[in-house]
Amino acid sequence: MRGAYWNLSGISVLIAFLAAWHLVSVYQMVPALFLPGPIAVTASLQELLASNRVWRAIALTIQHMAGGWLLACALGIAFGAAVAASATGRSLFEPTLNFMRTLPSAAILPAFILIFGLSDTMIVAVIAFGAVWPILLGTIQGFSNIDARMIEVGRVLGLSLKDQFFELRLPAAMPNIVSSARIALSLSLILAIVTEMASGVGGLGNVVLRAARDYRSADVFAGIVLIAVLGLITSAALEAIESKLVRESR
Amino acid sequence: MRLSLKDRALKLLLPTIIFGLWELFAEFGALPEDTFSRPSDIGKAAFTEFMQGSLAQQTVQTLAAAATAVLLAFAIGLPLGLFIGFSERVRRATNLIVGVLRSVPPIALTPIVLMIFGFSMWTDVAVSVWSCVWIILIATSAAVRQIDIRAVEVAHLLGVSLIERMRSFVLPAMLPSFFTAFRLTVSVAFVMVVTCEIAANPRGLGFGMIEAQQTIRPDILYAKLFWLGVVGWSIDLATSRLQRRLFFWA
Repeated sequence: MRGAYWNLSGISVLIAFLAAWHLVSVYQMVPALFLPGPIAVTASLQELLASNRVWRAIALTIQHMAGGWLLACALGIAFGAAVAASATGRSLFEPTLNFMRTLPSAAILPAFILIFGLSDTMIVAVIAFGAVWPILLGTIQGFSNIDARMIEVGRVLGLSLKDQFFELRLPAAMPNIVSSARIALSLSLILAIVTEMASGVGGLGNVVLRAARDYRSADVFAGIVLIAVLGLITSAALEAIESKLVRESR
Repeated sequence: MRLSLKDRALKLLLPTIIFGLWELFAEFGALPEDTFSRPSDIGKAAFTEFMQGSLAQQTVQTLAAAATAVLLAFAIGLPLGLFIGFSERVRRATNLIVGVLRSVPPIALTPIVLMIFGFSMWTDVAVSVWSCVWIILIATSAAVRQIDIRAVEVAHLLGVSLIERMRSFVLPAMLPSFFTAFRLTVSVAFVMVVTCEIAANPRGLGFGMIEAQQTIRPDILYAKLFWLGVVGWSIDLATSRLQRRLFFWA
């Protein structure tokens, strides 16, 4: 699937799509308030990118996202490794974790607004809460997948518990951990946007919300483009790290 | 698969400890009651909300929107996925546009969608259809590839009708992985509807929590949060049971 994006037919379909979108807006088949044309959106995008306010909002969203995601990684990997260490630990924690996993992440938002108020801390906490479950479950899965014979060999060779962990268990669990961290990162961006929109604290979500309140649809679409690009960049970066790590561990 | 008594006990041990400590800390005043409430008050609030019928009403609103979104997403995504999956050329031509459109974060569309549909179920539905359609489309076109193309071609040469070819070669190969996509779609639709209710649309369980937060009723807020967890978990459990029953060989 990958690498098959940029070919002639694909690009022509994309251009045809943009042309159709342009025609829809030129002939006002859909009110411009609901669907501004590609030219208006591009103009808005240029205007947005020229303003300092948007760059500050982007920086703030990245801060929220990175803070929440790193917290989720730290908590998820540490806790997951501890839970996965024993079979009893797994049967003690897994049912509750599976219950929490199905809870829509944004659902914790009202509770965290009560606890932390409308603040950056609240946003980071919501993101961390939502992003921790995939990492936690991925980590537990990763540590459980390890070949029991490897551990036996390690024990026979007289590796200390610490060496067993760092030389055998952690490398075996790494692919699962990294791929779950990637899922958590795209979740972090969505949660950052949702929380910023619902709380009005700041960031890209807030930019989109304010534009919508003033009925500046072109700005809303430009904001959506920015969010999408931010998502693509972060997931591409992590994918590159993932493939590097997987190559090294082979 | 019957669980042993020990596993059953372990399953309930962690929630019991958490709720027990929570009640205990609240009793000794270590937790501020206007943000954390306490389990016994949450239980009472759940009972009152249940008796007043608001819990049932909001649950029905949320579930109806999610179910409509799943149906609509299948109605749109399935034909498109089949169309894309059956021909290598179409797949090459559409990869790029699907990739671009899929990366548009649906939740950022809520302000626009809200302008179109107002505070109705269709706002929730539209936002979650956008995220679900791509899952179905990609899963369908991938499932099509698992079909034994040569068998279908031979059948075609032998003059077997299109409908008969679909029934005996195509569907059996596609259904198992297709059902996995169905499970994912159901849970994504539920999450998106709740997120939309929290971020923008004043209806359903998501808004029920926002309302409780705005009126500073943490007991109602946590009662609805747990209920939301129970609903999501039950949906997940039901679809996974169904999957195991229908596709016991896969």
